[in-house]
Amino acid sequence: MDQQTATLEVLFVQDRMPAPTRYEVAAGLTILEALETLGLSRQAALVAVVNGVTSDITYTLQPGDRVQLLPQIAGG
Amino acid sequence: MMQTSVPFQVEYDPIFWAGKRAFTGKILHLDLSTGEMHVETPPESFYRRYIGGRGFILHYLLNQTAPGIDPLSPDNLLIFASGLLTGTVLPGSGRHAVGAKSPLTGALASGEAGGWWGSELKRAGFDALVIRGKAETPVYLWIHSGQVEIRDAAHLWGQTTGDTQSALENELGSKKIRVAQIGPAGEKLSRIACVINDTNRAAGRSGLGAVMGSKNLKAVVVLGEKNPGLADKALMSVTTRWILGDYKNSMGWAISRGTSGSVLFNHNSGATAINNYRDGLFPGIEQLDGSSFFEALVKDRDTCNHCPVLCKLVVDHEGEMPIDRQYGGPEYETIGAMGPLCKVNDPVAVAKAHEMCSAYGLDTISTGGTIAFAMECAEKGLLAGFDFQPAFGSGQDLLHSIELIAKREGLGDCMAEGSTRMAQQIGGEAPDFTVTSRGQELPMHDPRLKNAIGMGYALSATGADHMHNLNDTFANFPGSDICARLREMDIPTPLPLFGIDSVKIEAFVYEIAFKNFLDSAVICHFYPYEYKHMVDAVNGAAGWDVTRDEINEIGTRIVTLARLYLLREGFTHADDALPRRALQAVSDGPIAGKAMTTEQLQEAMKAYFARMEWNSDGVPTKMALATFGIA
Repeated sequence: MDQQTATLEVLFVQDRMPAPTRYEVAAGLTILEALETLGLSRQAALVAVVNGVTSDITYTLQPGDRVQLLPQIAGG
Repeated sequence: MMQTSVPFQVEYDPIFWAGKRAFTGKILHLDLSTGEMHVETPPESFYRRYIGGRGFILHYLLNQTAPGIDPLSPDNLLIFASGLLTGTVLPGSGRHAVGAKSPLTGALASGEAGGWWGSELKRAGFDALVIRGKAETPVYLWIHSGQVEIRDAAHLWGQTTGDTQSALENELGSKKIRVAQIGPAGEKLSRIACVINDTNRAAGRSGLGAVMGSKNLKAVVVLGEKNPGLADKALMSVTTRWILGDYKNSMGWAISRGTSGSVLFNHNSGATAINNYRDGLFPGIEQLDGSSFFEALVKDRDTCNHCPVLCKLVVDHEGEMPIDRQYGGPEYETIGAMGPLCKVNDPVAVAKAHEMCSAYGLDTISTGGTIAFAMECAEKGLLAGFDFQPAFGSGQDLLHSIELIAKREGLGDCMAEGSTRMAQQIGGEAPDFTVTSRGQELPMHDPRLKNAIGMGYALSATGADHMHNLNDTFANFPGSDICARLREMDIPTPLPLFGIDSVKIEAFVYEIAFKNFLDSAVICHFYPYEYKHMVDAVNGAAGWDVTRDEINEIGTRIVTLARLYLLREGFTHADDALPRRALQAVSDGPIAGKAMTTEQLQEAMKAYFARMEWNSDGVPTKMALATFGIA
């Protein structure tokens, strides 16, 4: 892995488990900025888990970070 | 014995009959002690002020019950209320509300359910039923096309909801009837009993089933012939066309696996409570996710009136633990409460637990929460004197617990009271590890991740409730429906995930009002409707000229009335609280080390009170009441 990038793993709820779509993005961006660049910031709700820790969408990506973006579903 | 009195006949309202508006204009009042009935025909302004659902429920509780009544006495009201939009062509409108004073919390009970029952109530000619008194012996109501009969239900008492549904279909000679009813748990006055409709939907929370049982009312059966109309079809079609063009994308999650598809995601982000709130990770959770058990258990899908989404699961299973398809399948909340909270990772046991709760008429959240509490009591050696010692991780013990609760046998007699009362009975350290707000078990959205939801649990007039609330993880993502609504109200998004800052307070105020509007209209929360969509739908349904601000005003009025009801029933700000466990961080998993402090929660609630123009004890000021026309 390029030391200047972080990995985003986006899970879509329709996917069979767990089949994330992976993106390498530049460190220094926030997660939200990275998602905007990828055109994914306006889809249904996702929550970010950075290296296993649930984190704010404005977290600034560090080199080597692994971020899971998990669909959020309300109610039930 | 009271039965088959001369049918009470009511003519359909001519404007409703002509298909010119969505509300019937008639509310049926019925006293089960005397058999007396009368019909109220409220002015149109009443509908515009309260909309239906929770708005109606609060109006009648505040105006037609005395403060301090015993919730299980004939003095309590049991209110079935459709909403302005119920039964219309709008997707997500196949819902109704049930309300009363809660026997679990002593506060407001106000639950909504999907299906067809609410739409059929309107088709039968009524917007709402306000039921008081107590029948001498078990009865059911048969309401069909304006006729109302009180009928003997002795032969139905003790039967499961499925058997009662079948018996009523045979007795009334129609498969088209819609039945709202209690199971054996409601008959036995379990404070965690619910009202089931269509055999697989529940007005679940706060013990509504016990109120119905206390009135000796087994079921309310409706069948009608006139669909709600619209004042302005073109206006309604603005919203319906938008959602029908959008839902396959925005509600793809619901189409895919319903809420069962969120189990693993919620666990992996720390939203799901485990081991009665003591752990941060649950091995085997993936077995409980919809993506893994679908092929083995889910054989069909189900939906509500006028809903193309089909988010409901139909579980059908044979084998050692057969599961009857008429009871549908478990939602996320049920899977969370019966699964990780009790450390059970067997999907068949969890689905069976759901089926049993539907058959017996038990709220799955409070039942799972109470069983997890009992398991911890057993683990700590606090259940001396009981033969049954339920153990975490045991599917058999989970199912046996449900059986005992429904029958009020042995330990089940304590558990049927809910965990707060059970803890008081057991004493010692037991009250320290109940996980309730206002005496009601917390839903499966952990306040240690979702701080605003935690504040909502503490403040809710219905006890811990995730529905009329602000979901922090959604507010942290700009593509969510919540953020879209907040932007409509000029609130910048996204909001911080953790903590409750001033912007989140502002968002909380708007979102709670909107959800209370939805629960009055009565609209499904899964639909990503924004204010503008509701404006067109409401004006299309009724021929009014409401604006976004009026939608917000209606919702905020209902929030304010709910607060007034709490205060009237003797609650104070000291009761606006989260349980100890919800403020103690876990040591592992995605939210390790995270929790609000009591001081942070207090500070946030004070800021909310100030924003609402309530005083520092959460009492609405005269100015706040005047804003909403509350005398």
